[in-house]
Amino acid sequence: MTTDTPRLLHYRWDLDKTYLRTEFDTTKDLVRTFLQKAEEKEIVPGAPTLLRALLEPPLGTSDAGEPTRRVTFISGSPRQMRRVLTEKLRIDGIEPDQFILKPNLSNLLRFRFRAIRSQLAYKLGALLTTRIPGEVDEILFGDDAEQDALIYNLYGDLVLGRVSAPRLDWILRQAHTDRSDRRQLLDLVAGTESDPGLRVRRVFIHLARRSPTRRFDRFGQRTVPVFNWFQAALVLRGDDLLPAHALPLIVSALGQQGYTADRLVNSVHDLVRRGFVDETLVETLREELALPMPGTDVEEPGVFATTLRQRLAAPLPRTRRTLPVIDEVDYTAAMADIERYRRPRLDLAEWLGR
Amino acid sequence: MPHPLLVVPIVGPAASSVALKAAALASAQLDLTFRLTGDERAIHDALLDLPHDAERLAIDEDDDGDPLTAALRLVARTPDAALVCGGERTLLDAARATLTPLPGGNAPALAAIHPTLRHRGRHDDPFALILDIGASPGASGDDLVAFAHRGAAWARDIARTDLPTVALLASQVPDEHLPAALRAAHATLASTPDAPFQYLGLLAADRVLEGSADVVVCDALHGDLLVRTLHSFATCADQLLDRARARFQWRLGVSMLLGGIDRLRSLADWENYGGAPLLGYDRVIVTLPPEAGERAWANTFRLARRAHLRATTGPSPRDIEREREPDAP
Repeated sequence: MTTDTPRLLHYRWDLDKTYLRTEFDTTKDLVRTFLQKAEEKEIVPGAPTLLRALLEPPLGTSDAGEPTRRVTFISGSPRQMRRVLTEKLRIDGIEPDQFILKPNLSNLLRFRFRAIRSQLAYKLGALLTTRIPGEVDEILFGDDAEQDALIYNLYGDLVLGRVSAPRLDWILRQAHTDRSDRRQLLDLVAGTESDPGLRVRRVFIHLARRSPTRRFDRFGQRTVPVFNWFQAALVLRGDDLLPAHALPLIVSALGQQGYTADRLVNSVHDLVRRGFVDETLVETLREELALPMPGTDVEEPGVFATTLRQRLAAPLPRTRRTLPVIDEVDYTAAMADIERYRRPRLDLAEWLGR
Repeated sequence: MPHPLLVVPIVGPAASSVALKAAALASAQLDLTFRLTGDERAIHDALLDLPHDAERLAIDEDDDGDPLTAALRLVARTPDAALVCGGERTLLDAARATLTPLPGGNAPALAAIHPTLRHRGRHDDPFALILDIGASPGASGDDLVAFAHRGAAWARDIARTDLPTVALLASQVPDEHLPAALRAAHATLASTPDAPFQYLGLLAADRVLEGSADVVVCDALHGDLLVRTLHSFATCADQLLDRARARFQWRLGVSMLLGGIDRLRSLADWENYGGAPLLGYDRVIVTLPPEAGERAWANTFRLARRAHLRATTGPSPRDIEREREPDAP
């Protein structure tokens, strides 16, 4: 049976290193992040523009009745930062439907140090409890600083009933999850029926740490590691999840953040080589870069968009990678990757010797 | 100021290329922008396993099978580009065939950067320059004079030395016994009081490490001998220290001096201050020896960027040549 009711699009965003450019490698970084005011918080270039474009209702419809798009933020930041983070999102024109923050202070007061460090149980639990039943497409946005690719894919498989309880238990133990968190999550999963209407369509991983992209092959084609949000926008445009005017807007936002046309051309070429984008989509991008900027008085495309458009007229790279087809994520190998790719922070000045 | 584009030919198998690993790391951590030439498919495949920043790494398909020639052509047609490459034997011929030589002599000079006792310039830089160390065997007197000007321009732009000191390397023999080229260069330099550097005269090899001269000019044969001797001296000192550790009392002494020894090692380790600039063309070119590791490559990328930025913000090598030759067009 077919239905005209559009599937709900549920966007799940991580905050730190995905939406906000946050440093938390040292105690000093953590303190500075905690004390920053809303207007001092730096965004990852293009993130607000992309999210605003994703939340626009499709042409010819309105959200007067049931909304067709929702956004949930799930962050590892402490709950005490809710006011400043909500204010930051408000400044950016984003009003999340749900905003989940981590109970770090209560974990600290109860000496649950593992729970403070661990993201797997916390994020998985938050994803499961905030999901919307029914015909829903989820698009998840995270980064490579934590284990977002693993968590998001595991979530996608859990809601479809593709991961057994013993398997989940094993994964949580491997991740050194706090015992009570583990028990709580296993109970939550046991009480959750599989949801065949829910589909995790895409997982975007912002490569804040510039991790090797092959690391994400094991999660299959739906997981797209990206160097910037322009790359994600291009893939989403290919998936028909963004309106035509979104790409020029994101290009303009990145241009204002100091991006050069060369960096964006390199980003397109990278996606072409990695097999996420083809000639047709690049041609679509070129056509849309010639459109006037929506929401402005400017009738012509900007100089930056025109330069980029011209640069993209050159032949595309010949190398095209065939993306690996993964029927089932190998979580044993994925857990081993966490240790394998855990890199000590390089003291660059010392290494370079001057 | 736009980022200079660092062009790096990836010669040989990309998967094991030190240059590629270093460029990948530098793209992600040093805010540097690269264009790699070579086998596009192999380079891309290797990059999938390396931390890198794809925004700052472009790959050029190498149509004629020679990454170095492709890199030189790219540098020749891109004003904002600098070349960093391994010291391939073909570099000098390929550069001569592709790039525009600066006015004032067609002989290029390969320069070695070396630490000295005396520091110089606005940045208290301990490094001085020796050139030529192998690019132009059989250099004439005019060529040596051109080397002096190019070395001085480098010292002024890179080490920020306002009035660099320049000397000709020579043994302590009467002037009439000096080689003809050296004698001619000495006569020209000594009779040019308004040169944009201070000419110190002839300098014996035992005073090079003192650092009284910011630029030491010599022919390719003597430059090569001098630089190799300096490098072997550093290696010998390192090995002597290792031997000293074999005896308990010496080991104790060495461990007490460890902080100072590490600083000396760091100063003497050529990988810390990058490769050898090839001077004489209107583009920045820096080469590295085949044994160079990732650190040497990363430092050379920084050196090339600095050289490019300073050469473009201050007077260009071409301007300096014009200043030397007021009649030049």
